[in-house]
Amino acid sequence: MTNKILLIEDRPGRQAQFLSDQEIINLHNLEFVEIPLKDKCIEWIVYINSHEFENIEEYDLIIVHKSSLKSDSIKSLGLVCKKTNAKLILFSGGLSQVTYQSKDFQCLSINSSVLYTDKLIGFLKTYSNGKTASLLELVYGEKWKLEILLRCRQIQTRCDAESNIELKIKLEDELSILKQSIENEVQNIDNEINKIFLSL
Amino acid sequence: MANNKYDFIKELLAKKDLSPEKRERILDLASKEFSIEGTLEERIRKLEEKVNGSPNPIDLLLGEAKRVSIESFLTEQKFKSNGKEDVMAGVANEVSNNNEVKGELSKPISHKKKHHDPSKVNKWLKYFTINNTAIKFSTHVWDDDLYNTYQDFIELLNDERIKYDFHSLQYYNPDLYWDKIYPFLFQNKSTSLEITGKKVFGWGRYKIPIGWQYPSTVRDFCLINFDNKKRKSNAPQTMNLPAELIPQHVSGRTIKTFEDVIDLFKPEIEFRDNQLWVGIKTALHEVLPGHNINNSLLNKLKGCSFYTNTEYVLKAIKRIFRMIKSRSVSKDLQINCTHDSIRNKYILEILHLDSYCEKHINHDKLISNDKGDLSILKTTLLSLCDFAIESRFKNENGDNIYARIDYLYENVDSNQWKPQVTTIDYNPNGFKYILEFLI
Repeated sequence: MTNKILLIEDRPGRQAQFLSDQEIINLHNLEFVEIPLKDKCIEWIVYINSHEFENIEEYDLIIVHKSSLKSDSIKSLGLVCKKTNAKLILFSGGLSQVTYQSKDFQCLSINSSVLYTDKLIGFLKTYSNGKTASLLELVYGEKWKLEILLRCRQIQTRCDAESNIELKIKLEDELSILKQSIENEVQNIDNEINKIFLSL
Repeated sequence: MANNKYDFIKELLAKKDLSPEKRERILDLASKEFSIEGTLEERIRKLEEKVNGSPNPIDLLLGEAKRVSIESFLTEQKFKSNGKEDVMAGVANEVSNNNEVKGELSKPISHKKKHHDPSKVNKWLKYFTINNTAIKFSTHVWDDDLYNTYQDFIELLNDERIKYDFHSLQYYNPDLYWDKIYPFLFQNKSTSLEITGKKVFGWGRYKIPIGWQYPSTVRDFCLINFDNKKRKSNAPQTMNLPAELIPQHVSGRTIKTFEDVIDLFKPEIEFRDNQLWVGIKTALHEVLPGHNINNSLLNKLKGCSFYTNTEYVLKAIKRIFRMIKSRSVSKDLQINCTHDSIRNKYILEILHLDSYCEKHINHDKLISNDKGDLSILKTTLLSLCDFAIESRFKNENGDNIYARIDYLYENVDSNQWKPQVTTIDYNPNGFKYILEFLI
């Protein structure tokens, strides 16, 4: 069974900023990805902002431009995802951090430039085949766990050496966000990194 | 000695002994003089920039063209007011001996036209996210076919400044306009204060020395690299900063391109992701080390995103922390942020547990507009949020009462800035500061 994906992008010009013409054609040709255009796209946004979620429940992954939605609609959309076990990716040009949570449902918030990369189509194909373990694969690739562990170790080192309080708190925050996605491995980062390297 | 007609008019208007009749006559003559030059918009811009050094046509036309520092304004107000209430007057005592307050408040301010209306400030700031405005694209990446030339963009930007009346923002939160938005977006030449060396051009907490229009670096780059080329790879955001314009005091970041500069502007006007949490946590470390804080409640601040003057909100919060520090009765603290979906607000509450006011509810420090930290908080938070406190006080008979005092609330300006006192039937469990931000 193929997972269905909905991508709501109210500024299609943005795709052209980050993707080549061929990549855009390939993206729009993916039959398991619904990308509503123009009036259809506006309709979807109006639906969500009016808390009408009936049509959205058939999708397994919803990717939506965060700034097109009201904050309460994002919350309601999250509740729908929790109910239907769908996953949610919010993207925006203004987001400066990658944030991820998997407590109630998987939700990833990323900058538009992180969404529209040459990894996107491959990620969507893998996702539609049900072979994606975590949304973080979109950001960090197939070896996302190793990537995050390495980042954690690097940030921890920077954090320990940082004397500026504000920067230290920012680094701690970044670290805590990353650690949410590797809760089981976080206790002994060095061991986990070694284990993964040995398994490669 | 005046160099030109603008300077001459400026000198005339600056005379303190000018009667209202004479002032009106001068302005009448000045408006006739300017009326032969260009369109209305151009004339307004000339009046703004030539006469005042910074835009202020309405003040000019009303005879209030002189922009004053807070110190001189307060001295003047004190002299004039004869006890009349004024929200700004409250900082007079503090300004003379508190450097940080000086930093907060020694900004040009039009004293006769201040307003408290967070919804208006919120509306202005949301133009930075509304689709298809040039204001928005001053902080967002451009689509390939968005603008043919730099000038196309600037013309739209300047049109929107007038269309959306951005100039009036100075009457709601002067710092947000004069120290952030105006120099980043609209300023296209040195102001008279900058020419005379009284002020150095720069915006925001890091005093960034470059904006979209001033100095002409971005324009010059676009003339060569961007105009009519339709290549996003050469958009102004990609411009490398000349060495002399690279800000030196931004720790933890490398500032290399104009896009990096834009990225520094965004957090000046919006708390996004966990920035409010980071700011408050940093302030706690700096001001209240050794205090006990409920971290699970504090973590609710994560993800609270809204538009505001972030520097001033954090200044206000630091002041609240210093007030808490000075009341050493308790070292326990709760900071919570809740989302009121009906009113579309974030309610930020800072509670100093088991610390009660015990002052008479009409005590000068609580009610006066010109004394104490609370009056400074009112000034700092003007048009950024509604602001109130809750605690236990004494009534006329010396009995304990629980009460709420609202300092910044809807229509406070038309109510002569009077604090509103309401008794409450619950114990707030200490001294609570309540800041309500529109989302």
